[in-house]
Amino acid sequence: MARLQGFCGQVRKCDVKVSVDLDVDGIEIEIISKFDKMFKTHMEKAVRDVLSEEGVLDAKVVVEDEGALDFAIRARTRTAIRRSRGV
Amino acid sequence: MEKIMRSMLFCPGNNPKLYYTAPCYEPDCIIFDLEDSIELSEKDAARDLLVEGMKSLDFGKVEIFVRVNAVTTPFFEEDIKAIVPAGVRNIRLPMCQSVLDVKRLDELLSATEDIHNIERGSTKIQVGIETPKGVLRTEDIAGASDRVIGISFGAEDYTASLGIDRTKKGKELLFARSMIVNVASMYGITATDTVWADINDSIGFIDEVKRTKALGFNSKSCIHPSQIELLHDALRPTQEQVGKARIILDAVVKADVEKGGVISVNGKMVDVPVITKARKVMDLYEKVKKNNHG
Amino acid sequence: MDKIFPEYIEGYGKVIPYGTNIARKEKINEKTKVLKQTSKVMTLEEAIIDTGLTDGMTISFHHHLRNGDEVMKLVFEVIHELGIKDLTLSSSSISKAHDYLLEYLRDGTITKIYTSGFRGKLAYEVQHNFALKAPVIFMTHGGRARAIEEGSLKIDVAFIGASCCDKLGNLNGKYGKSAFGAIGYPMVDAKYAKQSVAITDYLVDDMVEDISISKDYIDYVVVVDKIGNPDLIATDSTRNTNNPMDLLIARKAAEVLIASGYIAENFSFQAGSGTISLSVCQFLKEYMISENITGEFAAGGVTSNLVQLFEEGLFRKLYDVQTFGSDVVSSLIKNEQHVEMSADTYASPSNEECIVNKLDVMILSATEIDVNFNINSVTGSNGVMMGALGGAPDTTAGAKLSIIVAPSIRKRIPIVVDQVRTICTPGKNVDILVTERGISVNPNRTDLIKILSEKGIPIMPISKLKDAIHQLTGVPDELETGDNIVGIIEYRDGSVIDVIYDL
Repeated sequence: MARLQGFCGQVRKCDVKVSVDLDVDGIEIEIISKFDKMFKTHMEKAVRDVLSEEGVLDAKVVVEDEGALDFAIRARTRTAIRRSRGV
Repeated sequence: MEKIMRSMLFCPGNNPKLYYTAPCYEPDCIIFDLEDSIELSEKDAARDLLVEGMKSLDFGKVEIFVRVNAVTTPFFEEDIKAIVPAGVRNIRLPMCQSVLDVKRLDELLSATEDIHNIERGSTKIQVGIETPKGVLRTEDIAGASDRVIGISFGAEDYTASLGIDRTKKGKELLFARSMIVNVASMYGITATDTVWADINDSIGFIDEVKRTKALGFNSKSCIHPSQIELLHDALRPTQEQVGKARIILDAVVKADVEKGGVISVNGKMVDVPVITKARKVMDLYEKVKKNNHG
Repeated sequence: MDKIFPEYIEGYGKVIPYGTNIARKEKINEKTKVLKQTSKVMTLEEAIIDTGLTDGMTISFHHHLRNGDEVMKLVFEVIHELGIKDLTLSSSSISKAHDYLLEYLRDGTITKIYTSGFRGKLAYEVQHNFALKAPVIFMTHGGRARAIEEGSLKIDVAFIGASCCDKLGNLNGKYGKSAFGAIGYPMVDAKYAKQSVAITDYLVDDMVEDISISKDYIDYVVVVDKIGNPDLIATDSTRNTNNPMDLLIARKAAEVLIASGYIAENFSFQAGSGTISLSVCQFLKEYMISENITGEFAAGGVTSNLVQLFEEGLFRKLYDVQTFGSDVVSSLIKNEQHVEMSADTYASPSNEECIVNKLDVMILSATEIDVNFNINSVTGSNGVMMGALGGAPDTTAGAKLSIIVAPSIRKRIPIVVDQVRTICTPGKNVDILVTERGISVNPNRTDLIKILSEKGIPIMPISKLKDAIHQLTGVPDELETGDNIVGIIEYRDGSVIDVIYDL
């Protein structure tokens, strides 16, 4: 894994894989999910909340979702951030 | 009142779906696992998921336990520091082999509780006895902290350490089980039996539950939802047992008032151990009714 | 239900909204006896030409061959060759096996569709790219029978795939290499269509003895190599699930049914073919045996599970409108009390004695249910056409107790919503919802609320169940749809209960 990049989770039923790249400018969130028509705003918010809690101002986040609930999206995002930071 | 802990449903902590489906099966307890079911590279992911799950989800009447990584691992401290503030109040500590293991956990819990303004002592410990050494030291281990509310037996590692096979009849586990049950009784805490791995063999499962119940176990770790109802059924006091217990306890009440000490039921003298046992039967019966469990 | 529809829809006609009383009980005349002097047996092309099939007519098919159907394909290939256009297609249902129809939509061979179900690529193109100008008209199994009988759906040529047929046109679906069992849906087509063409891959030498549809209703007999793929026809319906969640819901449902008092001597019963519904059957079996209860009949969609209960003596009769499984076909053949029934006997609202009206208990699943107990079985929560009406609106209307069994969440999608995307089965006929997270009873069933509460079954208001589910999934975002109507949902009496918009 290159510097400042990390991911967490799996693309499997009811789970989500969140990939984070901190080596960018600004915040960009990409949601890849069959459920985006119904839950895109929720998924984005979950990611944004965690970015904010972790004090991340610059990140590209790719969310490959298979119907994960928000708590899992938050958790995977948090772990991905930590891993990107090398923690 | 003691926590009711007949069934403890085991859930690998890195599987999001289990967090909101497992409670639907109404086990008395769920154990989210951060230890053996989680590969090394995913320990952080499981921990983060557990923390988020504890913060967001409502588990209803189900009591939540977490099996953290053993004190000898680099994950142990991180686990405790993260999960206690998130709301975890019951820790299963695996591979307990000495008083020091428990004391280390006790101290870390106190420190963590203090930092987060959690009532000191409110986080409880279930010690995991899984090795011959642990078995021999059960008394000291279980007595090492006031937080200890139970002892859990793990037969897989135990038999592996002894270099023997684990069998369905479990005769090779008799010594370990007896030790645990006796120590649990001495401290007035719960003895929880090891998992039954063959989920397709429900007859064998029920047989083991009945055998270990006869030894004194009223609690068991489960690895599949189908085991929960079978377990609850097998542990339920029969109507006959409840009936007898009621008669004895009624006689106790009367005796206290009239004769002051000696009690007889149906012309027979009834002494303290019998009364204690009758109380235990009624306790279990009442607890189950109250919790509206199976 | 305050839905507003236009008074007239292009490609459909005048809209009679659901709730208006439009009981029409007259039937048109059944076809007069077919007396053909020359042999009825000819090639498909000869038969189609001889029927005089031309532009603008209505043709029909059945879906007993399910995903293994080859009949529709064969017929359309010839129709296409002959250059016939602007046809109305009426099939008892359409499956993913019929995706090839897209080509015929695009080139104008087919300009109107009546069906119970619509899915796959075909549905996608219709909904997203207007592959069909007229809206797809969804009918229930009973509603289709009624429409054909009363003449509001006039069929010019019915194409009837049969696994066994004789030269005179006596046919059935029970014998032959492509045997599929009961041939209930096209019994109505055969009686009322102007002409009927039997298509078979097994022409018997003498007379068919076990006649499901009589030669009196068949004009032509066509022999082809195969009418369907047997592997895809005879689906394995003995799906005894081990899934603990399915079993949990099934057990709760069985407890509810037992507490309701409806599982009693001589009761009648129907279950949908979902795994949970089938598992409920297994739990009820234990109860019926221990209480020594024998049911009067079971009906369906007949699966192996039902046959098992029947053969064990727990039900006296089996009424079969569609057969799932080759072992079930065997039962249909050998068991006298396992009886085939036509779609009108089964569920036509014009028929007061129909089987669904005699049902005590109906168990079924749903993709979506709202706080008024309305059910959606045609569109997904994302609005995409991917299901069918089937017989649910018929059975729930007729049965004394209708119970829905379903998981509260499918992946992230909540099963209970404020308003279903498409109303298929009206809530007033739906009595109980059982999920792993809670049990809800329709407020209009005060009798059930009382008896279940007395028996200690925990029930909760459906809005509370909805909230509990939304706590986990989040409240779904509003869906955007277009303004064009691409589908019309007819209730069993022909009124319009909902419409589907483009995406």
